[in-house]
Amino acid sequence: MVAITLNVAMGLLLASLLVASFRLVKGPSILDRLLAVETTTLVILGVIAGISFHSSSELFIAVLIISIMGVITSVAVAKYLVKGDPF
Amino acid sequence: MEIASYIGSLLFLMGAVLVFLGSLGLLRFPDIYTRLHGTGVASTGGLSLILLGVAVYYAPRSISITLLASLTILFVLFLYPLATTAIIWAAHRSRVRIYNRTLVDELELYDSQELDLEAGTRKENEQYPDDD
Repeated sequence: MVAITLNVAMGLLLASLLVASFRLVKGPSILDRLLAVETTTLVILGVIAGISFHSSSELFIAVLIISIMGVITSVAVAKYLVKGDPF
Repeated sequence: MEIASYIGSLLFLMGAVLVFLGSLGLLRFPDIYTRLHGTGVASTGGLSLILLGVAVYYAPRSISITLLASLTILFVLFLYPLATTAIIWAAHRSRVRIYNRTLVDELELYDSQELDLEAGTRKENEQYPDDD
């Protein structure tokens, strides 16, 4: 029961990764692509959280660090596109 | 321990469904301002549900992963709206195309007022005086 639920959820996460990468290829403006990259980061966080169901390692430090880095990347690229300077 | 496993995996499944619906909205909506609602609202909520599922799953096993997952929920709920707001500001200031059936564009008022991005405050402008 638990294993089936986890497998279905991981399949849904991988499908949403595919959909987000389609928007990453197609998106008309560069900010659509940035939004797709942010969604990809978010789905990768979900996949790492799903892996941590199987191996109870200290994998959550990676989730914390990747979430902060994804947010910093999005804000820096957005400010760079408007002002020509990320700071 | 069994109950915690069931509830945790069910929360994980619900979060994965929300993340998938958010990505579907990212694919199907017409412009970037509506695509924000897919990824910025539904996927963030789905990710916090996933992390809540991990926290519930590990609650009887090891308390350190539960605390770390709760901390990550707080970080996600505080930081991801910041990123999506920055992206939408940048999109609106660089004039990304708006869907032609949009009714109200409230950011247009703020853009016409020459925001001072360095100070983070609004300059005084006689075009929109305060009526009191």
